[in-house]
Amino acid sequence: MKSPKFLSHPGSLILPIEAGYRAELERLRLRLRECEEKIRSLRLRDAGKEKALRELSAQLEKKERLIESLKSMQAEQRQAVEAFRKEVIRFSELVRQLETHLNRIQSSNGWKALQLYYRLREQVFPPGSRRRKAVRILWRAATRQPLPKLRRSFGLFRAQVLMDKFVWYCRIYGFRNALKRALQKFHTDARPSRFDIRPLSVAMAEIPGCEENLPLIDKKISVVIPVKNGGEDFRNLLKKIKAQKGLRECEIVVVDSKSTDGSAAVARQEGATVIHIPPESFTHAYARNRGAECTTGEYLLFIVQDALPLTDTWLWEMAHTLEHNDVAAVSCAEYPRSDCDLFYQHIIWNHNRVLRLDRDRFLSWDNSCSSDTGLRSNAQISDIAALITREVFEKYRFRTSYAEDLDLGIRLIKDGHRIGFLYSTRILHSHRRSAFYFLKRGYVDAKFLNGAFPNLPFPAVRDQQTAFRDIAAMYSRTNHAVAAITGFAREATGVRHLIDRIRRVYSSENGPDWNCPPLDPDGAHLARFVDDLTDRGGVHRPKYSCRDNMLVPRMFEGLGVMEDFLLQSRRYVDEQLTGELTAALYKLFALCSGAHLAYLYLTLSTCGSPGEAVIDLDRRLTSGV
Amino acid sequence: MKILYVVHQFYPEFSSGTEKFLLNLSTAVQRDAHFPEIVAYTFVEDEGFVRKRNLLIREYRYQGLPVTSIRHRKTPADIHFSCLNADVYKFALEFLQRKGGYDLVHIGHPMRLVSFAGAARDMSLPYIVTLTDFWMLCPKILLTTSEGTLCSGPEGGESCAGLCPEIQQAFIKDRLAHAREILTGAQAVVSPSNFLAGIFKKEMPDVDLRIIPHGMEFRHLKSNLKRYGSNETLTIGYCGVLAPHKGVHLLLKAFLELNPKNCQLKLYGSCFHEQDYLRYLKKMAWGDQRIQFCEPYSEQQVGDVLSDLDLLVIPSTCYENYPLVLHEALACNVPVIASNIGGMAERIEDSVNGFTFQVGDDKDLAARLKKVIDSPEILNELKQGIAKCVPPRIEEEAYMYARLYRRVIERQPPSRN
Repeated sequence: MKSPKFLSHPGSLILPIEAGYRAELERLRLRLRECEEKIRSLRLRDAGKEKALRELSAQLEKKERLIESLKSMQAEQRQAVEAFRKEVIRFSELVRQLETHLNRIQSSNGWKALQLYYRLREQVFPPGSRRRKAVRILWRAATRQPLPKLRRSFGLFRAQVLMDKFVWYCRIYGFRNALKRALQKFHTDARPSRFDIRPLSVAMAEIPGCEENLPLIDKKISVVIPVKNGGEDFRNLLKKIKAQKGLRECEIVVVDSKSTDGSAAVARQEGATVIHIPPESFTHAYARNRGAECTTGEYLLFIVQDALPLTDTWLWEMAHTLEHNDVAAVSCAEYPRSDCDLFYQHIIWNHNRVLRLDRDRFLSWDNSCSSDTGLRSNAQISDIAALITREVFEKYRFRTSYAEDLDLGIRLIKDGHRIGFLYSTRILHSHRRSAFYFLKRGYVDAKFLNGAFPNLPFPAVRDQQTAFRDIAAMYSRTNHAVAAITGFAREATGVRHLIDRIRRVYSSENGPDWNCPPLDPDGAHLARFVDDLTDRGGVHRPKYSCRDNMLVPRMFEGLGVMEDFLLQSRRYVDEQLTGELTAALYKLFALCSGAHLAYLYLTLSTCGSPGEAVIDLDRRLTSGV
Repeated sequence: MKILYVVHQFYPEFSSGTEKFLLNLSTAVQRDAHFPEIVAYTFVEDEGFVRKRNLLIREYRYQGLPVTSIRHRKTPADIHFSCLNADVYKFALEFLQRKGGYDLVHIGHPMRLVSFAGAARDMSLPYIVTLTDFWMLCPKILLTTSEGTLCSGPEGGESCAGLCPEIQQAFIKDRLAHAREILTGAQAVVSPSNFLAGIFKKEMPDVDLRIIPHGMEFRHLKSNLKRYGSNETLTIGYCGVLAPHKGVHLLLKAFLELNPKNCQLKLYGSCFHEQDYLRYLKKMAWGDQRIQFCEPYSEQQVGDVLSDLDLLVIPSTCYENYPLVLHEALACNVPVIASNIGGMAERIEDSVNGFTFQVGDDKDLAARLKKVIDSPEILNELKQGIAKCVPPRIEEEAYMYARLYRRVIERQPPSRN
């Protein structure tokens, strides 16, 4: 190994180098001492700061605790404010309701007549005058000794009937509900004169000979059809839409919820665009919105899979109305299929009659919208077939999972839009459903209406046991009513007699309740449901009481509507009619029972929790409608 | 609306196309919450009639519809072809007054009860007429000559003098004048086919004619979904009345001449009064196991019967205005071979949704049949042609009529509404 070079230098050079190192060492030592001094001073300073930090932390903790306590105080105050606000809303709602009632009463013809009567009375029979005294004496004499003919001629008999009815309703529904119903009835009777009906005139193209000369609708129309196992009806619908005349362009978008009958393939075969959505994510609003997103037309037609245009100019008529009448949307009335049953026929008829949709109309926001019927009438967009401009639809879209069309209609008219409704142009659509379906429908409808129209009065059904008992007893009585009309056709009487016989069965307090089997051939599901209710409620063989059963007024109301419908189209009773009426009676019962169960749910929900059994019922009755 | 339907005959005794059309229409009107009532002529000699002068009246209900049927105590000789009957006219006036409140009278077939149109007119009631055959133009109904050949129309009665010399020309001219009066007085005249409308338009250009095709009851129909290969066994069918003018003998001749091994022929229907013709047909088919004479089928069985066939033949030698069975077959996805005349040719496009052959020519029919029997796969192509057009449903027809009723009623002076 070689030595480093400098070791080989002579000794004279080593000394100055060593002295240099020593000086350097000294300098470093000094520097080290300075650093140690500095560290010491810094440590001293840190210790002071740590102390200050500890003090600050302590202060912070104290302040945090203060904040916490203030926060909890604030939350309590917020809760109090919220409760107070709710109370205020409730009261203002109540005040609004009462004001509405008051306004309606004051604007009704009855009130005006009464005011007129008072003024006249004051003028003709001034208070304290002899004339007034004489009239009072005469009046007392007349009312103390009833003179039937005289009373009838003055309308007193009618008043007495109404008073009896009111007392009956009070017993069944309670005073408050009966009063609400009476007020509602009062307004319903007064409504026709105030219904703002503006006729819509449409240049129809109903004669096939004119089809070739239709003025072209120079717009692209996108048809959106939500589908699940559409079957033959769906195929026919696609063909019929493709055959529509007088349109520049038409595209079809099908929203398929996993059909298993090849509906998607059929749609593709007919040239439609198919979008798939998972069945579990299906809602009426979602499917339609999803379909609309994939369209490119200026007008959007939403139509259901089991509807069918009845002419080749149907879509032209809808589009023509939309184009020439300054309306945001157009829909049309249903026309029943040949297999439509009596009950659905009467539903279509009554719907059009009550909502005044038996003519071509412009619908918009007016005074009648303060009532639920008026609002339902004026916001009438039917998803069975509704045509709407893209511009309007993109702004509003569908929202709710149930009655999404009514919701859209309400929003449109509230924002000042007009809607067109056609009765002269109709679409083929009707259902033939089981009684159990109508039970679910009644339930969902009543719940929805309560949500959409909070002012709508409904009977308070507080007791689950009683509700189940009423339904079971009414079912049994319906079996009796059906048995009473079986074979009635042989007696060759009219429709009125037939309905009267049913009414007698329902209004009779007597009679065996449980020895009559169900006579509805398609009603096994309904029968099982009623049995289930009977078991749940522990109400084995409850006794039917016309005076106390809460379903009775609704059944009578329904029977009245059915009677009106039958008198409109039939004169005599035959076996076919009694057969159809049998099925219709069970469906009417089911509809009333569904609504009754909804009232039970709503009443118990407002009082607190509805309970396990009612929540379970709610789950069962809301699925699949 | 309260509508009175008038028809020459009705259920349960009679159930041909016109009765079916009227039954469908009136039940649809009832479903839509309107009030239909039917008046029909009958020949039934039954109890339950009430005597009223020279007429017997009976009221009954059929499928929920109120029906009044009338007949003469002694049936007049001209009841089937006269355009005037004093007894019926008087009854019609009384009936319309007594029942009252009708908004419209709809003549479903004018035969025997045509006086209701006159009575309605005299009471200022609107009425409409549906033409289902040539009765208003030709007392023989079928528009055939005395020699059995086809006629193109009476031409004011001039043609009848030469082609049907057995009918007095004065009677024909009188009858045509009455018919014109009835049709021009109607608020609307409806034809189910362009062909029928064309014949009437030629004779009476001033009549307001419109087309409303008859509809099918799809509930009872069933689609034939069969696909055919080259060696398929085929079932050929005929459905309808077994009468000479329906040309069933032509079909039998063609079938026997072809003598196909992979084919059977089913003839559905009854002969009514044509017993001799039925014997003739049975004699032709004697001993042939492939040919079956089947009973007439009910309306509920239409789908089963037609969807069981691979091919339907309509060999009529008369004009068929709107053969329901042809439309039912197309609705069941069954190809049709039909004569090349009348309402049949209007609906069957040769080689697209079926075949047409020269009317009365069994050789031409045999050639068409051979084409199908030799290569059954041709039926697949015809089925594609059928699928392009959906025949109208009864609801569509009823809806078109409902709109027409509304228009007619709205057009009336306010006092009527």
